[in-house]
Amino acid sequence: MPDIDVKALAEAILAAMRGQLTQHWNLAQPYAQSEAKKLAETARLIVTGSANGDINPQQAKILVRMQTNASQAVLTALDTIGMIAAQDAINAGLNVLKGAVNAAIGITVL
Amino acid sequence: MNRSATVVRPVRTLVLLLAPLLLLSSCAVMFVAPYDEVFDRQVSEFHQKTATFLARMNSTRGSYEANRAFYSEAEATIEVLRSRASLYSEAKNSGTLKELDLLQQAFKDLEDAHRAGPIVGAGYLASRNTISMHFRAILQIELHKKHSAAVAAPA
Repeated sequence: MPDIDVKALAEAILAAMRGQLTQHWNLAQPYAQSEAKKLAETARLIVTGSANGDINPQQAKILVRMQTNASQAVLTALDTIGMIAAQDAINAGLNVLKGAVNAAIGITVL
Repeated sequence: MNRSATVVRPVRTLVLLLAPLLLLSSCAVMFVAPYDEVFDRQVSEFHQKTATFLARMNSTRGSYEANRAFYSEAEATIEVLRSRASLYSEAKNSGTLKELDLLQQAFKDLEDAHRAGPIVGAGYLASRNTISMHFRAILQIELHKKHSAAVAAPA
């Protein structure tokens, strides 16, 4: 009677899912940190530029609005990356499940 | 007990048990549209063109009136990118499409800022940083899609 070690399989599926989530996070973390720094640097540029005359009051107002818009772009990217990571984690888990079921039955059924 | 019944019952039970697995395994999940190399390249080219334009505005103090053609070209480029991004599925590429909406707004704002005066010095650096954030956001999504393509989906 074919059997499956449920505990071991669950751990293998979890490990495969975690691996995918970690890989995406390792790519996303430096991006998020770098963009947060860029936002802060750009805010300082708006202040110094307004003080030295490079940026007129009308432009300063627009640049602040552009900063808000750019922050939304970063958050949208991180949100989408989260969806891609979830997708990969589920597919990696399904791959492990498929291999385990095929091995237990002895033929390729999945 | 009938012999055929003793054979059919376990088989039927096995099929019933495996049906959810079969269903799951035959359908790889896809929440986000796949990587598009052409789109990735077009975005990078557009980013380079924009960075070159802004650097020229900084060094020449170029007026809005003399350079307004750039903004209509940028609008057309975003429209082309939007068409490409919506080819696969608007729902599955909603993140990228939202990024293009935000990029379009960023170019409208940049145009307004340019109309208000030359884009120079700190104004140039702030504009360049902000616009680049939009391009990087779009390219980050493509980078993760590319990485995702390397994950073998269940057949």
